[in-house]
Amino acid sequence: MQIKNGAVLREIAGNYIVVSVGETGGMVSLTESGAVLFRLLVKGAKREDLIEALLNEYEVEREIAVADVDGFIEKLKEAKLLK
Amino acid sequence: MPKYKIADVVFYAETRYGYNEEICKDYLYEGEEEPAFFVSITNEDILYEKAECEKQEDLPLFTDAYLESVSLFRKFSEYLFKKANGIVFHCSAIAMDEKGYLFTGRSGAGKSTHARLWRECFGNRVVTINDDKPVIRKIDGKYYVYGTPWTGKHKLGANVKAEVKGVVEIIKDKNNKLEKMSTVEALSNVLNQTLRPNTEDGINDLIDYAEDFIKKTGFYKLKCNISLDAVKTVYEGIE
Repeated sequence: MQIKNGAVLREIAGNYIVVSVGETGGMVSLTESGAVLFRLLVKGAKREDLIEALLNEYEVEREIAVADVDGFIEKLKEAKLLK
Repeated sequence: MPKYKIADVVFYAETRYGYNEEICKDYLYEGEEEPAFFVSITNEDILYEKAECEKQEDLPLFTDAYLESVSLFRKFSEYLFKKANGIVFHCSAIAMDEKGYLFTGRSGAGKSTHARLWRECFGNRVVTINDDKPVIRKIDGKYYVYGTPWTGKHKLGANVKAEVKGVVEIIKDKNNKLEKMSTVEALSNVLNQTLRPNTEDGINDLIDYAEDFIKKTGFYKLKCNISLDAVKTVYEGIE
């Protein structure tokens, strides 16, 4: 699981967005924790690393962290941001 | 070789098909200004455009003459963004009392129809700038919308410019209601109406450009029907 080349993460007016190069594909909004996960993925993190990161960063139950990470991955898939 | 001036950019263009010269004829330039660049459309360029069209569904087969004009449009747009503080902006643009109003929206949302209603409502106070692919340029801190030769299926447009007053996304509805867009909505709107660069640096530059454009321009969503009341809602709603 890797982020496609040419996907740019930006903070705009307090929101996190990802835009990819090329003519197609839209723009995805991320939450602050989504942006943290995105940066980790860019560095090569795996699903388990992302879950650990959420557990360390935020005081949440494992179940919730797992659901959040899977939701995040699904969102990136739908936006065709994964290769 | 013909010299053109489009959006205040002077350049030479070498094309083979008469179609390009025909659509660009109002933009021929014979003044003294030095051309900023030279563009020549090759067979490879035409093949590239053909391949791009094939990636999209439901597009008819285009002639090489038409694809040549698309290629010129692309090359002009690339120059514009890199060197002239400008972007192409897919919308229907009009000037009303010399202020530019840009109507965006999904295909079939009624951009051109809404622009036509403005002409019906205000008569010759309204000038159609371009019904499909006008250009935005930032000059001395202000944003202007310019007519271009690429006027879309209704062939409506003129070689004129106006300072941008507002961008309005048209959304079909029963009633008329105007709302301000959030910054993120406006950004999504800009990114969807222009050509996306194919490098990360290009994307970052485009987002920087869009952010500034959004800061200095009113972006709105208009839920509307096809009526003069829809026009009034926008005209009175945009300060």
